[in-house]
Amino acid sequence: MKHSRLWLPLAAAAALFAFTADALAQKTRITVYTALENDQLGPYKAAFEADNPTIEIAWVRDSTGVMTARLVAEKDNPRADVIWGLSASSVVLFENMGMLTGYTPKGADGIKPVFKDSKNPAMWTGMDAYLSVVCFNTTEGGKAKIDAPKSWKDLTKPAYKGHIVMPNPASSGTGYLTIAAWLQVMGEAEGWKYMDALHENVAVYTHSGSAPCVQAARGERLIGIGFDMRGASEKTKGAPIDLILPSEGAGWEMEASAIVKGTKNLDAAQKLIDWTVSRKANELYGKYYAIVAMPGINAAPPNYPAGAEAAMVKNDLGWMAKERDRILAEWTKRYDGKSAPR
Amino acid sequence: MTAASAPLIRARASRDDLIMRAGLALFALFLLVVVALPLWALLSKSFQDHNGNFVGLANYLRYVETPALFQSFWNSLFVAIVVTAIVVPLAFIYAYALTRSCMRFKAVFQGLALIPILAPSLLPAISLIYLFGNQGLLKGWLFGQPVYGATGIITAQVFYCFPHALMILVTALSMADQRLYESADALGASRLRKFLTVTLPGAKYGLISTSFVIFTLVITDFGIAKVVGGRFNVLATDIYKQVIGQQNFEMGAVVGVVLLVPALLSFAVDRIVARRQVAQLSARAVPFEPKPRQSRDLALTLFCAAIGLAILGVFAVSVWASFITFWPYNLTLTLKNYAFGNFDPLGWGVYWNSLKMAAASAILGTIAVFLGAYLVEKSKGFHVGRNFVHLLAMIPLAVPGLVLGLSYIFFFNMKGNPLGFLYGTMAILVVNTVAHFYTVSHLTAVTALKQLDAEFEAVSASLKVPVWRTFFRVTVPICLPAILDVAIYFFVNAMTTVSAVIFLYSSETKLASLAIVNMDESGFTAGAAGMATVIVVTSAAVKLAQLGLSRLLSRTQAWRKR
Amino acid sequence: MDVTGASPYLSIRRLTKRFGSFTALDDVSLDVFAREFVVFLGPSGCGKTTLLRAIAGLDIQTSGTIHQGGRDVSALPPAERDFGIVFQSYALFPNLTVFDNVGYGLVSRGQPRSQIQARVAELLALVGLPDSGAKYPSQLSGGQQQRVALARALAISPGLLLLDEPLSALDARVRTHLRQELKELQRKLGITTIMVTHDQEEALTLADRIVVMNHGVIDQVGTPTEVYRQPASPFVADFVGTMNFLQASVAEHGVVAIGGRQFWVESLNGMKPGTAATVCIRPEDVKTRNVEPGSENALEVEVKALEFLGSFARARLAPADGGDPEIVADFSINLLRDLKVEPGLKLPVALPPDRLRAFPKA
Repeated sequence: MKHSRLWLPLAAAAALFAFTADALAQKTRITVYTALENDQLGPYKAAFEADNPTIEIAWVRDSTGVMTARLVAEKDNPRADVIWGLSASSVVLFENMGMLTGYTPKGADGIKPVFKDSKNPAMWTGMDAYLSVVCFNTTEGGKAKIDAPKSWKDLTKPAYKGHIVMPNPASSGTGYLTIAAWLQVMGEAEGWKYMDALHENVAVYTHSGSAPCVQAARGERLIGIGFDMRGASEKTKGAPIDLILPSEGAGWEMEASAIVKGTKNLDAAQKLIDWTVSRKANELYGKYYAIVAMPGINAAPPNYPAGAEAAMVKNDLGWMAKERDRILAEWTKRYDGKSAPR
Repeated sequence: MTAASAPLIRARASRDDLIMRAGLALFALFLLVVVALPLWALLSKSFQDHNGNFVGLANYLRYVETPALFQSFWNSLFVAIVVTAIVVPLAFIYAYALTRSCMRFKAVFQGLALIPILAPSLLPAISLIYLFGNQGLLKGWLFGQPVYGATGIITAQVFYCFPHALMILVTALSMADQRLYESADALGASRLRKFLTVTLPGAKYGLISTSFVIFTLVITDFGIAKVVGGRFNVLATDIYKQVIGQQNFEMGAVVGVVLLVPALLSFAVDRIVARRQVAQLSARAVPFEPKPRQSRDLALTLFCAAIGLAILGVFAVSVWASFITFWPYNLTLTLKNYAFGNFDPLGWGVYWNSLKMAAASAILGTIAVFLGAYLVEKSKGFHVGRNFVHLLAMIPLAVPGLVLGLSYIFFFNMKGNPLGFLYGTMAILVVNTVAHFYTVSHLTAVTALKQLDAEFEAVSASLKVPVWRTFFRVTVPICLPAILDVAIYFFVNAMTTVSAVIFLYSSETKLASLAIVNMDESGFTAGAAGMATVIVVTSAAVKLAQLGLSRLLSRTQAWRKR
Repeated sequence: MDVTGASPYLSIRRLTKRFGSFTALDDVSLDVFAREFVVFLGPSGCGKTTLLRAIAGLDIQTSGTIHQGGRDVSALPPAERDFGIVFQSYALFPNLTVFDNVGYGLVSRGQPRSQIQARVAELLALVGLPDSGAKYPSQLSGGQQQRVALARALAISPGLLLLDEPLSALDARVRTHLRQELKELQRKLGITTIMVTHDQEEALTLADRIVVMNHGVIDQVGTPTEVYRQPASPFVADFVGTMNFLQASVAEHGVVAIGGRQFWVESLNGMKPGTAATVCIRPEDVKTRNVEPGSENALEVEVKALEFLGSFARARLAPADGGDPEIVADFSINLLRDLKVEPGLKLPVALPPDRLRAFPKA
């Protein structure tokens, strides 16, 4: 009784923290950092947990750039157990910084060689590849009497001035792979010159890689350079857009998985990595991506343009990882003034 | 006659005094931790390089030398000035209509005008895109001007700031002395002359204060610029872009400090004005009673109707947009935009997070604020402690949410900070929200406490009743309406706030208001509109519940009747 | 100053209170005896409330000591002293009933409910509000609220009752009425009481002793008659009642010169001839009836103006042959009729030497 007043602040403090720990987990809870699209997270989690009932996935999701920066920032005190669905160039960057634990998953033999790290044990494994494409709104194009572009080069034509939106490579993985492809295909000098010209036509650089094709889909802009899958899904929803694979070839990136060094749930993490290369997982990827790691999977999301695999440019993921900082610094210096707020 | 030989007396503190002083010390510590130290961390970060070495003004130099960043400073200033110049006159006329005319439906108009307060600032911006975007309903109204950029920011800010300006001006205009007008009438002053010599001077301080409040609101808000800013960068979006987009914390800190300057300036001016205002109205003033005048009342009704409809319209557009299948090509109505799971991994979870966070902020914030205000107002002696706590309590008003949020990142991630475990939890969101909205709540509580008889505590002491008993038995019951006000203020702000918490949420503690930002960014604009609608409905319901409860209090508690 | 011969109940020694550079109380000493009703009288800002609050421990003095009932309470917080207090604002708790207000101090002493009930009923009867227990303060008149505040202060049977301008918020009739009741109550209970007021009439009717204060010091302590009849300073003379102040100089022992005329004065307070002095006389002390011209301190005056004040009239008088002093004097209505006093009337008046008080000129 005498101390009853002491309990008041204590109770308040307890109330404050109660809901931070409201789920007393009996399951192993693993923290998975990802840049996958939101609509994929639910199905992936459900399917994995159905096969591994003792493990629970806690997603931490943001755009590729943010996730990458965050993982780097947390290098000394990692909070993630597993990376699942982050661009391979970022994952290679982590490998170079010694942030990953190698593990060759059971069933790694079943996936295409390009989708796995050649080292043993493998530091990472790929899931799928995605491209940066041009989304063109045919309705608005018809109204404005502007023809669809066929190549990257076309986009610098004066007719497109103010009609193009593309992602900011500093924050968007799609943005980075797009410019990395230009620089690799055209060569550095030509590539920057091309971007200088393109910059004149760009209305805004968005924070995320999905936004440009969405804006094109809504007719808010005529042309969006961006994440292929989002363009396809918008088209499925009824957007009057065409997905164009430019004639010079399309930049691409792979999404990869890896185990973060220092995880306290290594066992569960390895189970997850095993699952990410399974047939079931690949069939799931195939619903969202045209190109997946396992051969022979029917990967045909609706409204996806044909010939995507052929249009992929020759891409050096190692180079992308190594040169990332330098290229982004240069890009920021040249064009950042037009970035969308975020 | 000197008192040299009389012994000096050091007052012995009573147990109550000691408890209250300990409480004050605890409070000073609390406010130091949640306000002052984080800001200090931000400030020191702005003088450091990426590796934490002191680099003097190097970051600031880089800031000034980066044209894109420095341009934002002028952009912010420009937008803030234009919005202030538009909002203040509009709100003044509206407030004038509410207080000085015999216009009908005043309650309706007042209610309409307050809608924007219940919504996150992103809502008007989203509506603007549906109205004036490249596919907007009323695109033609802008004569081919794009809504993205200064135009959009200014328009949305006008909508968002209007109720804030209105509330201050209504207060300023309701304090009028009938006798001044009667004297003016007796002297045969014309209406214009009365307006210029009596009405305007009477509302002078209110107008100045409103201008600064609006200026600060605009310069520190980031949701609107984020959605309709396009290529037009402002300070608030720069911080965000530097920190979240590019993880450039040092530059973010610099922009934060820069953003702090105009906010601090306007805060200082507002304080000075407020101090001058104290003796404005004598106790013998006769409250003003407007007399009907048809032409004026009709004109004002039309004016208020126009504004009220515009506000309702902007709000309605968002609600309507949230039910559209695929804008602008398929306008059939659907509920699927409310299946938030398609746009955010937490789905409706973000809404429950918001409710939890808002409820916790309301409860804990109100307890903290009221106890703090009580200690500052009612403890005896210990002036240093009281003034210090009061000063600390005033700081948050001058600190933009983004700056506070960024400060929290730095402070709670500092090496060796024992509070580091809070980072990424719901608790830090609650603490941050309480700190962010502390000042207005503190002032509300202080005002309520000042209205109590100053001798309650003295009487209690003479009756040997411990101070806490009087606190619970007398102070709290009397102040219940003010306490309710504070709680609702915390709740509604916690539901709608974006700026501070956007730096602090984790994937599991994401809030509904933040989900709107994310959804809008990834192009799920309809989902964003849907979430904004859910928030508005929730805030409105809470606000209505408060009205009902206050009415119940004054009806059931006989002693409240005069 | 010892009235009863007993040792004082409250003993204040060399009390000084400073607020920053402002000295609100300057070396004040005072004794208050048991069962006494003492009134602190003075204009606002004279330090009377500061002194009261120091006694209560609400604003503790900078230096000096206070003993109450033989106990040194100088540094004690209010809760450890023994007093009940009534403020000008009453400070009734608006959310509590009259009953709960009066019983407020009893509840936390752990008395049984029935005992509290009986005590509160007794107190309410004492202050004449036996049936108001269930009401809220806002349902009572100002005078009734004052009584409740008094009952609440008395509930804990304090050794000392402190009243801070308790009647000044009331209108004149209620005030007069409550004054009587307060006095009777204090007599009946025999409680040592200190009241602060700026109203001299209140002080004169209520007090056993009046403490007249000015600029943080005590000018005079005395019974109402002493203070009225023998003011210790021009300030006291002026503040209590109405007074003629006449500019004079000391002519020789027992004689002052005013406007060229010589007047006998009973006491010169040791002032030497040639000293500039102020000589005081109350309007009602000016002798207007049966004055023989040429008798002691007599003066032929002309009525300049007449002010009717109900039971008497106040006249402005000037020497019939011009010059000083101008004097204000009271005429009863009877006398007014008998002498047919009206402006212009000339008549002899006298300033009785035992009613003239001389002070050195300030």
